[in-house]
Amino acid sequence: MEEINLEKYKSAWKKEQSFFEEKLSRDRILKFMQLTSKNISGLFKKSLIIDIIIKILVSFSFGVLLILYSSQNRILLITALLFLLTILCIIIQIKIYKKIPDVKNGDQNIKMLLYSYIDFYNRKFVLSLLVASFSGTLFFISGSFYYFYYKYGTIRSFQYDDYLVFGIIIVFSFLLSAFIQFRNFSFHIRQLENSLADIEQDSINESKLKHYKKLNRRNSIIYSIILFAGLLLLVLFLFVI
Amino acid sequence: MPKINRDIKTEFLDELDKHQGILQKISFVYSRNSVEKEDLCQEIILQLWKSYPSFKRECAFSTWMYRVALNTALSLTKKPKLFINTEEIPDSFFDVEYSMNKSESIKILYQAISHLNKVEKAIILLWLEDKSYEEISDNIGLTVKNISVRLVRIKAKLKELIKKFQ
Repeated sequence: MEEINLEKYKSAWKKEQSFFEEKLSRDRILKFMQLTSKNISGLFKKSLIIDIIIKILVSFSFGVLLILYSSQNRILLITALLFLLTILCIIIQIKIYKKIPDVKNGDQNIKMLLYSYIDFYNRKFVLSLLVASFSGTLFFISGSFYYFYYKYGTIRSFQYDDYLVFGIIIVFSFLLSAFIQFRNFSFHIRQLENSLADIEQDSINESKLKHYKKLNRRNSIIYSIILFAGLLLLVLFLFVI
Repeated sequence: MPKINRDIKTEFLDELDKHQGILQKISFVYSRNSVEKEDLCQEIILQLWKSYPSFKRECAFSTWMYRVALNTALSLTKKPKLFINTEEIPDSFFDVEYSMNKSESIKILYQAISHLNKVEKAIILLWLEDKSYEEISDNIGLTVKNISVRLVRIKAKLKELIKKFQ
């Protein structure tokens, strides 16, 4: 069997005319220069902007509720706390947005670039995903408050099954949203981790990747416990106390 | 100020125009069909333009362009598709018509390269472009020694693949 001569292919590669003939027009290049990025930084930014907009709308909705329930002290206090919680979530998301690595692709090599994205995701973005998962829950709570206001003029006293239904919806909306967000982002990060593992395959630094995975798991567990405890306290505060 | 911006833009467009071959080669290797190639071209141009103000001219525009384009190609991730297990579609799958306008050797080479992972593609692409081990190591982030070992392995793999597709 004839031995393959790679130099022959290298020479064909260098001489291939179609690479030089297929030119993009200036107009097309100018159009491309104005588009938004589809890379991982772009994805982080886009998801944060969407969440910040949703939370601003929810905080506005709680603001209106503060006026509607202004004469009912206990509900007013709960609404004010929810309003402050939403504002706190917006502040956290804005802070994380500002920390998204503004990677200049020409300043670092492939390995460093992949590390900076994976590091950011594991250290900072996990918190953002959990905060974003609260949007649906806060939206549901504010919607319920409007419903109660227009139906009863107040939040009526709850029966056992009401606690159960509301409690389940609140917890479920959070968990479902968290599940979708984590699955989506880990799908993207896994692709970067695979490329990094391909670079590091012979290197001792592969253990660094394992460290990130451990860090991610640890952060996710800590944040989840804190947020879940907060969520349970919220449910208790809303409907029991 | 607008004049300066216009000058930078014109300068960038002129440089890019001179080196469109790099753009075509990298997007060709990292795509499986014309749609993916168009998307990658868009993203590379966008990243080049965004990074251009920080281009310090310590190296040639083409060297810098390889770095930005490869970084973009390697950090661009596929979207998850609902109801479709994307992991079932291998990276080596490609549209047959995609490389129709290329010479026979390039068609075979493309088929073989499409079976390499993203990092191997970057290393072999830089080798095909006659870059030195130092330059390849600088782009990937591995030592020169590591690159030389890796290249031996990738070339052996590529030879086997070419044998299969010849």
